Amino acid sequence: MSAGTGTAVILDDADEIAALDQAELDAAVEAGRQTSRFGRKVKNLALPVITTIVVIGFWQYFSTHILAQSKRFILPPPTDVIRIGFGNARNRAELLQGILQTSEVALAGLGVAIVLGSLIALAMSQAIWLERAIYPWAVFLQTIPILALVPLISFWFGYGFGSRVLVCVMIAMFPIITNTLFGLQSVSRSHRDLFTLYKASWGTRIKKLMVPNAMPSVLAGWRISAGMSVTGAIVGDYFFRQGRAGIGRLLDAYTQHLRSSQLFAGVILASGFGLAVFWVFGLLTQGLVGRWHETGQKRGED
Amino acid sequence: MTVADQLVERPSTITAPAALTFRRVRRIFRGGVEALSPTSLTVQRGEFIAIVGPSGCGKSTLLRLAAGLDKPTSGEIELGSESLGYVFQDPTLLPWRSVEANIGLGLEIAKVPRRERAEKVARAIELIGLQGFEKALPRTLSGGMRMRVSLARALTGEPDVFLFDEPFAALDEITRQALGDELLALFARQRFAGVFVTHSVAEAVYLSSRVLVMSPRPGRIVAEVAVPTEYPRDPEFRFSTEYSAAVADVSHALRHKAGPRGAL
Repeated sequence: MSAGTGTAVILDDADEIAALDQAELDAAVEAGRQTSRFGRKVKNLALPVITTIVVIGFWQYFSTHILAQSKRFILPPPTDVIRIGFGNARNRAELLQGILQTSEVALAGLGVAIVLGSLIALAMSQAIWLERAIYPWAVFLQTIPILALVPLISFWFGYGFGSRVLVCVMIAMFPIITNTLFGLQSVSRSHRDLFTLYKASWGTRIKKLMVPNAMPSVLAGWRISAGMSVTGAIVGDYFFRQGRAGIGRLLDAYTQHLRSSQLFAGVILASGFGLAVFWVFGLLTQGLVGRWHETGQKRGED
Repeated sequence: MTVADQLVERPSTITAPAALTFRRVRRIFRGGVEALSPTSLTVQRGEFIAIVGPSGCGKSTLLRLAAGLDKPTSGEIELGSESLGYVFQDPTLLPWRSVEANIGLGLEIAKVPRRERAEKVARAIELIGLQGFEKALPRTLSGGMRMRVSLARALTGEPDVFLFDEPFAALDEITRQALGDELLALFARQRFAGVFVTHSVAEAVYLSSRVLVMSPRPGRIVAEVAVPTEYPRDPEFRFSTEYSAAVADVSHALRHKAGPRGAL
């Protein structure tokens, strides 16, 4: 090469040295990766299990050894909760029936909130005047205490299934609107330019650019709303007392009759249900956008 | 007479229409900022020109106007061909689409039948050397590879006019030079008309046969430097005296005509 006054020394045997141990090196790296992945899995699983055992153990000890017999109803020991709340066939049937009823309300509410909320967000994303016109109402929906509206809802729609679903929708719709709108609006300028260059139609733009681009935040909205919808269904149970009893009404009844073991069982079941819904939506997110978006990927990897 | 006016009056020996013509094109943004003061230029078919200038000199605006992404406040723009290629500063890949689905995006939107689309995508993949990465997602690729995908996508439109908006600006020097060589190889095969916007003097000289120097606020062409070296060019060109002379000329023009003092 004609340029430069410096001397370039070329190491001819560098490649050979590198090639020599490449296979061994690969094997070692792979082995290291295996153990560390396994170790991480154990650690990820072991830590929450340990905390759970400690908490339950302390709870058991507190209920049986520190609380006086007469006050044990305040915090029944876990063994009682399992034996009476879940072990007894009649109690168990009652609880499962309740959670089924509540989940029907919650899922119906979530479904309506998703459909309505997505359509509203889509409309808002298409015209700035629509966004300006609707957004204050969405915020208003979020800030009004739903409980204050309960009498009005019952006055208009009665005390049955429909009113419960309506409460869920009102509680769960806001995160769907805001997250979907944010997702739809977060298309970058260069991507918009790209579609303009391709002379893409309005429909193509929505289908091939805006909607897929919005999916990570849309799904985040669904996940938040799913949890809120479960809360809404349980709250609704307290106030709308027609039809089959949901878990909320059972909790209320157990409190009033001081059946604390069953109350605790109900609380655990309701929490478990909320957790399951959250988990299902996490899986959904991972399945739909995990391939390409980081929010959908498992944490602790990479 | 300004340099810009001389450019448009250069006698054209070619009878076919030019690839791109600007006639006193001016762009004033809302708020009164003059992004581009009346500019005239002609890019012939099969000609590769570069535009250099400091940030904010309106070179991207010029390119956006040429592509129809922006409308001029006054003046005329004429494109000699319908098929236009545009490469953005970032690769603008859709992260949920595989490499081949990204490359086929334009064809898909233009409703090109599936089989024809697959053939064209495969040809672009071969031309850019992306074999083996067809199913990969953009997030698994390096910056240089993503830019290759972006180039391949633009190629599927078989452009006669290829506009580049600082496409290699975010890449490291080594990748940048490699992609520059690939671009020249592509130019040798496809013979499109190219307009390459950059703020790298070295890149502008290496790629183009003519470098236009722009000054900021209001953006205008203040100098033109010819790079007479014939194509095809190879990496050795970087060490030639012609190259050094052109780089010196462009740098000089940037410093004395496009700099803050020169603008006065």
